[in-house]
Amino acid sequence: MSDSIVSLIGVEKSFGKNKVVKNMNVEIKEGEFLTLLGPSGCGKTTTLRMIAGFEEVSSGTIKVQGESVADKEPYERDVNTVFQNYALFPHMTVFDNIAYGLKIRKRPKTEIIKRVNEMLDLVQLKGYEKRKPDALSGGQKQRVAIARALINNPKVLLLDEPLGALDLKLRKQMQIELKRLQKKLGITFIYVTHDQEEALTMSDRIAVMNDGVIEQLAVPREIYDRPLTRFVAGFIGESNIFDGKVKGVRDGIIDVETSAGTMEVKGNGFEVGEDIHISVRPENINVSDDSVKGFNLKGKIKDYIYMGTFVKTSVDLKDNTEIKYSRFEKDENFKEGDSVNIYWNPERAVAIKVKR
Amino acid sequence: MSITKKQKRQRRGEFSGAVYSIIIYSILYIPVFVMMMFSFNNQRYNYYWNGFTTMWYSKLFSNSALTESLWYSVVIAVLATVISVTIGTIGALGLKKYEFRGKKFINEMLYIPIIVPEIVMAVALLIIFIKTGLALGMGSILIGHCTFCIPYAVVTIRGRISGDDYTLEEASMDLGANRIQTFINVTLPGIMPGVMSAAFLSFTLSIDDVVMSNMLAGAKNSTLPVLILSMNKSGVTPDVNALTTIMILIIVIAMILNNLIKNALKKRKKNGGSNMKKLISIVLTLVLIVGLFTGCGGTNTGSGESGKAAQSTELNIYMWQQYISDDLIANFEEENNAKVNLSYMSDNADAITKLTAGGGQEYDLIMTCDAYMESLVDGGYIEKINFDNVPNASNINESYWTAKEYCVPYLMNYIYVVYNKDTSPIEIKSYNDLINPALKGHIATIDGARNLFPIALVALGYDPNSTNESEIAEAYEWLVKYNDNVVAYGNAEQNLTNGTASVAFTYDGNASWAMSELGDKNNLVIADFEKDPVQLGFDLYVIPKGAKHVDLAEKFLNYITEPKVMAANLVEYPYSCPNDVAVEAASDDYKNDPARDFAYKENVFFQKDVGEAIIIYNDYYQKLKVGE
Amino acid sequence: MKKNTFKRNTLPALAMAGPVSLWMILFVTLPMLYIIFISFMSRGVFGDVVYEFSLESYKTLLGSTYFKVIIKSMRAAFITTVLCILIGYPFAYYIAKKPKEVAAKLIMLIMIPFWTNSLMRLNSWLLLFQTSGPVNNFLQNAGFIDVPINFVYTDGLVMLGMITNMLPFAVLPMYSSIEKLSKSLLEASADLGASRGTTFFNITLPLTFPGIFSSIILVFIPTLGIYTVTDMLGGGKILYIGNIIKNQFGAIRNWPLGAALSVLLIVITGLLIFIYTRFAKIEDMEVL
Repeated sequence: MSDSIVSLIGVEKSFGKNKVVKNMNVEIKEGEFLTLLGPSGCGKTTTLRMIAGFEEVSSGTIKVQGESVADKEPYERDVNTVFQNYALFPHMTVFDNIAYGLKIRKRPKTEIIKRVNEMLDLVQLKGYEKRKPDALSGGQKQRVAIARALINNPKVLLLDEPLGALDLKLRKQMQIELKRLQKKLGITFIYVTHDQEEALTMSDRIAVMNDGVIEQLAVPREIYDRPLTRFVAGFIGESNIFDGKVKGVRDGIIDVETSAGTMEVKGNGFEVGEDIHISVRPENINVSDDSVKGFNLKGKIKDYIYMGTFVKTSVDLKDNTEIKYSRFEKDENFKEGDSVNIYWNPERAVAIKVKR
Repeated sequence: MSITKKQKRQRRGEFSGAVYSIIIYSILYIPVFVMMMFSFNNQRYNYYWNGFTTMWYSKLFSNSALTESLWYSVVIAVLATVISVTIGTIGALGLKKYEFRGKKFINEMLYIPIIVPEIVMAVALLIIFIKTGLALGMGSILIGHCTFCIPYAVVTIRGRISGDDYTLEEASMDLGANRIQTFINVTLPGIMPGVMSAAFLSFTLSIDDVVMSNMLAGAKNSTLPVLILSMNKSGVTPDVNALTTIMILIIVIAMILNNLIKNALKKRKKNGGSNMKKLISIVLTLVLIVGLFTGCGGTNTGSGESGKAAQSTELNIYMWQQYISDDLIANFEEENNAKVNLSYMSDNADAITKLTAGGGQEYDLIMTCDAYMESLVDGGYIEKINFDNVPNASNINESYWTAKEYCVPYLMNYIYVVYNKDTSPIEIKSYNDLINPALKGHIATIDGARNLFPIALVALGYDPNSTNESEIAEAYEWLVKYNDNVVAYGNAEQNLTNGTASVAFTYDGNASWAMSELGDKNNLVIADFEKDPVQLGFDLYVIPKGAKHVDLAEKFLNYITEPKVMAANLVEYPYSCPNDVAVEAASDDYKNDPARDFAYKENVFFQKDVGEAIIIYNDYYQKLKVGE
Repeated sequence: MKKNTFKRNTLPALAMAGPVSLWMILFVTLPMLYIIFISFMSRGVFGDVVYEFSLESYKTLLGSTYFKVIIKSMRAAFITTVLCILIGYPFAYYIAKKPKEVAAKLIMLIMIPFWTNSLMRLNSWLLLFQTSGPVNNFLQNAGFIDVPINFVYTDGLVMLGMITNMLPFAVLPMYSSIEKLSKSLLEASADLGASRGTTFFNITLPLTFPGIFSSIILVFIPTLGIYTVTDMLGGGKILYIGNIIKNQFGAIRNWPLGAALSVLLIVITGLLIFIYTRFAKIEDMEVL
């Protein structure tokens, strides 16, 4: 079992009266790619900055490699950051930017040259040594920022939405490159983003954050298939979410009554009469002419959008809720205006506890 | 939660930063506080602290000249700010956005007023104005001020807009607004902080400006700084301090009011303070300030000429500050139903510069000294005086009168040596005593080549108006030794009374003041020269060529040579006077003035025009000042 | 069609950049040309300009007396500038770290003394430091000295007056430059292991240098050209180039020489700017 390389214990952060990070506890394992995922304002960047040392914790402890970093300045921590806007030093060349960390530590010139060239190779920027940041494209700047941060061989690399400013194709490409780099170097990456697709692609584990707390910390598949909270369900991927009351429980199947109709979901630990959320992904929804046992969800097909591999279809249910499902070629016989019955495999839906 | 090392260090950093800033602010504000304190000084000129009084504040309200000049300064500053910021703002925007031929040139031109010494720009503008016939006055000063304010405005705004792009403007035009509307509704609010800074900077530069205002001033009004500059020769009176103190109070009140208004506006509409609101609150505050000033008695000057009347109703005089009685002027104005505009020179050279540049016709009477008369006459700069209109001139002692047709002597000065008999290391009986090394750092002296070289020449046994180069060169060597003993040039009596110097080479009028100021503690004595003559210098009125109100000028000359008028003048300004009849009619105090009580009054020499040799004098004088 | 482009492109350009260009040409270029012109003319006896070509002024300039003064002035101006920068930079830094609202007020606080008259403020220094003044009185009463120290009319007092006059012009550009400095650059430097001091020398200082340079220009040149400070606090014994120029247009009456000195000043400035732009490759003194 890999050790925790970074631990957050009861970490809280307030700006004035505004509590931005609330009682955060997380153990980050050595060598893992952990993403802090969440919408703007959820506290993910603040958490990252606390680990880096740019913000003080209001309470709680942060440990890096088992040692508390409470008294340590950013330059005393064995942690390096890739900034959102790259923060390349405009008055230095690419070479000098990358070499900065080593120059500070007064490493011998030969070592610096060797290491910088290694980094340049690593990020595929050989030949750009003499350029200044204002002569680089976004993607190139980003790679310089990464090289600069990695040259110190940090134990932990913090990345604050590094791909946000890049176009889609480049972003996808960099995602793959970053992942490969991380695997190759074996460094722990703590990655911050609001793009859930990015998180799902790259991460070993994802911490989904909302309003200062981690709602779920798990591997991507788990986050996707079995969201723990309504928020996670809604935030990750496309989801249809129903709010209802438990009507009956039998053998691991829960019957739920909602304003749109009745439905089934696989789950445990619920009592009759309890409030419940149900989350179903569009690709798990089926429609049929006939009614299906356990379900009473009727709707009218509203419109559809051609998405390439499937067609995203909207259906209005009886209480005017709109749900989406992904229609494949085989379902082509249904068209706009048709009345359909909605159903799914209970195992493919998720039962979520309602927060008090 | 306990304080971390880092927080402790941050607090320490904040603390030392705050302390450092307070020290800096103190240094910047100490002169301000001293100045405010001395507004309560019970002394005619602010030479040293002499007791507490509030009389200067009451005197302020009756001295309209000061408040008028303050008003004048403020009006100019406001106008200059508005013009400069307007031109500067649209200029900065235009220069950023558009390319055109000569753009680089204009950019470079913008830096010239910032880096070239103001005196140079001022003289250059003066010449241009005169040659193009532009009358000097508020307009010329305004142009001068704007010329250095505009570049500062442009540069300030440029700093603000340097990173901006045009997306907002494009959005505005896309939505249907034309360029002007876009400018007012979108561009301007965005750069408002920069505009405010530029306005603030322009106002500050304009209201404190001395050089440009002095050079380009017209005959009628002076800005406050120029007025103060002209007081330098005699000394600044504390009513100026009082005025400045009031100014500061008004500013402080205005700032507090501004804050209150801003907060009130903020509460009315809950969406924070937009920049438009800031603008409104500042305008309101300005209106309040203007109102306060008007209340303080600053009547608007700027009366124009009422066409060519048969008799002039205006008289423009350019002379020394603190040299003529206000009552005298007031009476003349009343008797002749005319307005007398006094402007002040800070230096004889000021008048000469203006005359040389061709600006003489701004004035009807200019004061100069006898040394320049020949050149002025030869150069055709002054008019002959019709003495049929000045019968009282016959009261003047003939022997004191050179170039009789062109001038009327006003007052005269014995230039001699006084010293503190208690603190002076030696007794002084001749000029050569002045170069005694025992007097090192003891002498306060007046300045000027034609004051210094003559005494050196006399000390060496030569003609004080020599034109012989080798004699002048010797005089220069003498003056080098003299210079070693000098602690300061100018304001001799000030330094004599406050203890900086123990010997003064100065005018008898100023010595008179110093002696009366010391009163019972007077230990000043006039050097009892055994054979060296002292210079007797005259301040003369001349009428410059092209003067517009010659009739009134001659009337004035007749007026001040009237014995009882001059006698009254001498009460306030007890200088020596060439008008014998007036001296006879003067008060006993005047006649018994200790400053004029010395034995060798007949042993005098006059300044003569030295023609071409003035260049030699000036070169050696420059050499003396520059020092080796 | 042509009318349209005029209205759309030329007219706005004319309206915006026109007034300032016109003003500069009329009131700066023309007078300056005249100054350069008369620097090559001869002087008349009465000080006016005689329109005969002559290099006399420039020869006098480079002669020993004037040259010495020029060097002395430049030395003094240099020291003043350095002191202003050293004193002003920490001050500008402190203000730049404050929130914008507070910083604006602090800056305004620096400028307010300038609304009182500069001559009066200079006179205040005289009153404070004169032989019988409060400073000497205090020093004597406290027993530090027996005999009053002669502070007035010394180089030191002139420099004090100069610095207090020039400080805002040093602080403002540096403040502007420091304020623009992106916080993330400083964080990046710390993140990479640089202590606060190292970050300052490697990042802050180089990146705020445009501001420092503007301060140098705004202090050094005017110091050479000012005469009021030396007049009042120098007792007529201390002369800078500004005094000399003023004298040429005044008491000495040698306008061509005054003009030549002014040309010299402009040349010095031009050289400074040229060296800097070459060296640092910054196009425009944008940070002013």
